[in-house]
Amino acid sequence: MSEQETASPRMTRLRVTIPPLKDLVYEQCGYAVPATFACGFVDLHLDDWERAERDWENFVALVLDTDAVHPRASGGVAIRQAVEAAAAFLVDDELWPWCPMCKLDADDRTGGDR
Amino acid sequence: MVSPRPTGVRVPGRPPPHDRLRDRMRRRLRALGAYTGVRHWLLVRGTPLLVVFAVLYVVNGVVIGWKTTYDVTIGITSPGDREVPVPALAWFLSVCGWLAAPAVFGAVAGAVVSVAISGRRQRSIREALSRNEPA
Repeated sequence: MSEQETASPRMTRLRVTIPPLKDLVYEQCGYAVPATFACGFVDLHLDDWERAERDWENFVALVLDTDAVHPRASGGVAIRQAVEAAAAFLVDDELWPWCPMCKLDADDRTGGDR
Repeated sequence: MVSPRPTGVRVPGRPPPHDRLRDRMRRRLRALGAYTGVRHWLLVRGTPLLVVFAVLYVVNGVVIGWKTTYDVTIGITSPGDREVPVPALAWFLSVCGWLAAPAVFGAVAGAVVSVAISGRRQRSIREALSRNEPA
């Protein structure tokens, strides 16, 4: 078992549900996400936790259908890969200047990129 | 030892909202993409099909009688038979009975068998030995 899985006994069983942002704030969340990710993502949404959580869930659900998750990964393993890939994508060197889900909504409303 | 807070991080001004049951259920539903193969199909497509079939079965049971409904479903009685009072309704059930229901139940059987088959040879030697050690 990896160090992360043994760090917290509560996190040894990978749950098949998208972890909310508020569970990713701390280092021992069980997922390898950058330390500033959760707070930074909420900050992008002007402290609107509900909107940030919704966009986070939509983004992870989208990542679950990409090649960022191993084709044979399933259940909690797939969730962990998707969560970590999503966070890594959004952070990279620094957090994206906008939320990609919010931008998609805005583009849909304005009829595509201008 | 507590790790120092990274520079440039602003703590959100509002605390996170309380976790409600519908939030937990929504997150679990959005996580269905984590499953693969037949299990994913069963959860995403098979369950709605099964629900439609169940509703159709119950409606037919109430309208044309339970025995006739069962006979039409498994093909003993034709939906156009004289003893079927509402053939139009029975035709839908009959098509589901030989088309949709076997697809769903076949997928369930396939998933069960594939889980049993693929569950072998998943452990390392160390894990296998640690489970066989006497207490």
